[in-house]
Amino acid sequence: MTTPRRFEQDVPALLAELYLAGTPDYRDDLVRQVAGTRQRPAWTFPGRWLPVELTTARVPTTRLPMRQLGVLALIAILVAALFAAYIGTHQQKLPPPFGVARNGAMLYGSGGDIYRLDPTTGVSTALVTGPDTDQIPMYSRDGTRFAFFRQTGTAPTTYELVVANIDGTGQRVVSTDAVTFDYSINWSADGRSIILDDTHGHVTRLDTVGNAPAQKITYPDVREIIALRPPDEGELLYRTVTANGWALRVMDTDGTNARPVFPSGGSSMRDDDYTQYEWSPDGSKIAFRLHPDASDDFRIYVMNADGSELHRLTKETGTECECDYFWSPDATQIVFNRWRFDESTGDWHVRPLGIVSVDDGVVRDIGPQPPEQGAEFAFSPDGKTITWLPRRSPDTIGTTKDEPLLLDVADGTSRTINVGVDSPPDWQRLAQ
Amino acid sequence: MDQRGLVERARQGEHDAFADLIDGRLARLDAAARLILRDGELARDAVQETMIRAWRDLPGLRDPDRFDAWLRRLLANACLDLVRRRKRRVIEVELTPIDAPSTVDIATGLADRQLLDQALAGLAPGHRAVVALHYLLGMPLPEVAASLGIPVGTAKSRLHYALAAMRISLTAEPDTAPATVAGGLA
Repeated sequence: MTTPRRFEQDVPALLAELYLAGTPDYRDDLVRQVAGTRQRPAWTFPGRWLPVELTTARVPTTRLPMRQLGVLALIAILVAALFAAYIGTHQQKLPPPFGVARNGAMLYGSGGDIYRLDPTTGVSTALVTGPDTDQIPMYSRDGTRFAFFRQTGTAPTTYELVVANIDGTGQRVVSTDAVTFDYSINWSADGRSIILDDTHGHVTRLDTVGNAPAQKITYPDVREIIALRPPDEGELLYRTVTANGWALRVMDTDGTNARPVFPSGGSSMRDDDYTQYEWSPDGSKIAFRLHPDASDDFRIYVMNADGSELHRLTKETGTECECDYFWSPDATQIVFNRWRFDESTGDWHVRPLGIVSVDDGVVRDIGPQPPEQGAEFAFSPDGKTITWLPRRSPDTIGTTKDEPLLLDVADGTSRTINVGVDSPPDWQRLAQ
Repeated sequence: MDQRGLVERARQGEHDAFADLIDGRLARLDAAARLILRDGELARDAVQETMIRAWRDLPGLRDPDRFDAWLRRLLANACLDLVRRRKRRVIEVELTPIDAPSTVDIATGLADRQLLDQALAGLAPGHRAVVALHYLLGMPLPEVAASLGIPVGTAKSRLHYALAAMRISLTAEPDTAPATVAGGLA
């Protein structure tokens, strides 16, 4: 018998010898089957092009003598007390992290710099300039700071995540490793951290206030993390694999109290049978896109947070792709991209955005006819306006500019804000 | 034409480019599927499912350089989905025909290879998937773990367990009785 190490080295050859048997005889059948299968248009895939692959790195710390620590603690308590007394008389009222808020300024990236736009006056002010390529600004939920991506090195898709005060001052890098356009990133509800999700069951919290090391949490049995539940982010929506196939579940963020949400009754789902899940801003409902049996009909479904009252949101007939939806801040409406399939020609035709009432499922068009790839859009914090601009591939971010439109939700009229942007603008939330 | 170019062309809907991509990968994917599923017909189903989904969803693959990793992940999911659908159903082991004599000193004889095959048959599909992805498809363990949706530590322990089982099989008395294994993922 050989040593364990030698045996392990021999295993690949042994397995190849046992199982590798030349090109299978079904090769030609397979090629014919593929030729008879229609490819899905690129825009039917979830547009999760924001971040991230991060690993944690512990910040080196220095051990201090206890006596000095005690003195420092006393000084800190004194300063904190004075600061609290000052804040108590001058505190700025902040908006809630989710739900309806007042509209503030807009942030947008253009030409590698970050600008602030007053949507009322149309006046833009540069906040982050210089030789670096900075883009995709995102306000914190309380609207007091923003984060953005700064390109590092020569790689066009590698970034660091930078946080700045509302006026662009106080910039600091909070990412601990290279950030890429792959997974998802969100400000926490309290604005104290940025949450990164690698979609494989790992959540990383980056401290945006102090210097705490990045906190990485791994959830066993989680195949894909969806989102923290508004408004307190105490629960996590995620996908896992059970004996019956893929399943949607909710658990507390400490990893306990897991319970099923969808599907119910032990039915079997494949991993791409349902996608694009979104909590409503009040956390009471979950929307997702379902296309049973891998059909071409992609429809939005809505259910309560416990999985009850599952129903198709819209009632339009025919074969459609309803994609990329966005809840209104008051959770009463959903706006979405859509394409209709023409059975006679085998082509998909883009339609104007649809906006649907969650209560009655009635859809109406809003905004102009988008290009073939659809549109990028979002509700304003007050829910009365939708920002709209032609959808683009992540590969073109920073290379082309478009002028966003503001769509009036009530009457459907639109106006331009007369600035060229290279990523969708983000709207500041202010207290009512 | 390099791989990136082939993937780009296939993503634009060119069947010939996709056929070229298939030709370079089919044998090894089929081998991995047979190792995981222990059934030639099921393996064929899994590979067909993998390739059809790969073709259908290729426009959604943003980075052509990740084509192989993506394909291997599709195969792993297709195999394990098949196992789940057939859970608790007993699968008869089909021994792969063995033609050429081994050049590897540890298992030069037919009996040894049969023993190794039986050892693999005794493992759960989830364990065999780790072995197949790591040793037959050459995936590093973190990528195997990500593809199977398990922690890296679990992938390592499954691999350790599988290796131990294979090693033991080569020191045990030969058993020519056909092995059976129930579907399950543990």
